[in-house]
Amino acid sequence: MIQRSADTPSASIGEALLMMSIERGQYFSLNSVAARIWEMLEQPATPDIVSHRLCEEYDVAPDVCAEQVSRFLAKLRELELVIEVCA
Amino acid sequence: MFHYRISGLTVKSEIELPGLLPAGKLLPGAGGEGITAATADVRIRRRPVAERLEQAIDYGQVWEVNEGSFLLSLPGIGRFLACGGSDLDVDPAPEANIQATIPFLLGTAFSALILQRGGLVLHASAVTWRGRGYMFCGRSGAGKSTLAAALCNAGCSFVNDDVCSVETDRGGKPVIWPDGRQLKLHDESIAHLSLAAQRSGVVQNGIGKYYVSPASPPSPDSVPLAAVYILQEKAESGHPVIQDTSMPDAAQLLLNENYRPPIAMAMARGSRQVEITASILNHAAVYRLWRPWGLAGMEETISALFSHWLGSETWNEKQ
Repeated sequence: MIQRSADTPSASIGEALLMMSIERGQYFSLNSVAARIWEMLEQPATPDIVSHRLCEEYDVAPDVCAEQVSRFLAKLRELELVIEVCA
Repeated sequence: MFHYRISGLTVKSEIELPGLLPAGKLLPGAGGEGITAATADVRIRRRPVAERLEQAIDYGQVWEVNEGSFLLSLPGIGRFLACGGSDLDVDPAPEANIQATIPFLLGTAFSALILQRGGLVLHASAVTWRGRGYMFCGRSGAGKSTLAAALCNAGCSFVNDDVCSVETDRGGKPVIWPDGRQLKLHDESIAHLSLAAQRSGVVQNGIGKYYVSPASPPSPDSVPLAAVYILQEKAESGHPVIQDTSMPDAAQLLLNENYRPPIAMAMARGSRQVEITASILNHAAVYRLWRPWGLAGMEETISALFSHWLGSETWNEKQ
């Protein structure tokens, strides 16, 4: 399961989300879909759960969605914005 | 006791603070006597400050932060303690003159206090024109103060120099506060801008800078922030160039222009820095400004800025 790491301050800019990595002293912005994934990660979730929910909310093929979610979560891990938690 | 207004805050100080106009000159009808210990937002006192903070959560070479306090320890200068966004204690080193502590008191220590209050503090000078605020950020020596002074000579009103805090109003829009800080300018700039009559004392540790009073007393009211300009190195073309920025670069530029970025990062948890940055990006704009270096190209830069502001006004009127 994956969850947001503690203390990543964020604020909305239109439909996008502005996020600060305090550890890196760096800002990131998320588009509306990425911001929705970030919202889901407030609670622990698996990549499958995230993909499934997105497919319900957006018009996207499941395999394309799963691949893009996997890539996005890998990026969040790399930036230390999410952590692995036990189920 | 001395009374001042700094970044929209009323300040009662045991120490006279050169470089600030007394509050009585800033608050028409209120006067310095209107500020009491009970009503002042900030209290500055000279008193012993401990060498270390208890339960520090972050630190740099000369500073420490814990849940509610910020400590700055400068060998040969003194120690400064900001607590709870309302108390600022200064403890000069035995060998130091109290005057030597003031640039650090009003700079790093006061900016930490504003961060404790939830503000965003940028290394910037600022002016207003037609009721809208414009900030100029840049490294020390980039020409922020001289540009602000030149803009005031050209019809703008002075807001702030060097340390500029941004807050949000009740509608979530970014505002800046004119305050009692004086400009800090080199003799060359003072002569070029014909400001000798407004020159007062020398800035301690200011490397040849002098305090210069603004032509008119700053307004006590906040001003909506319209734009932030990040001063870049010398323009290659020899002419001013103003360039748009977009997310997340614009946010990163603002983060880099924090008054003391490592301290701002240490105090970012639970703060409103991201919220205020988003407010600037939602309701104002961030630009990079390249310009001719030195005083010779100043008039061309001023002209480019006024054209830019007039263009923005026209654009806004169409919305």
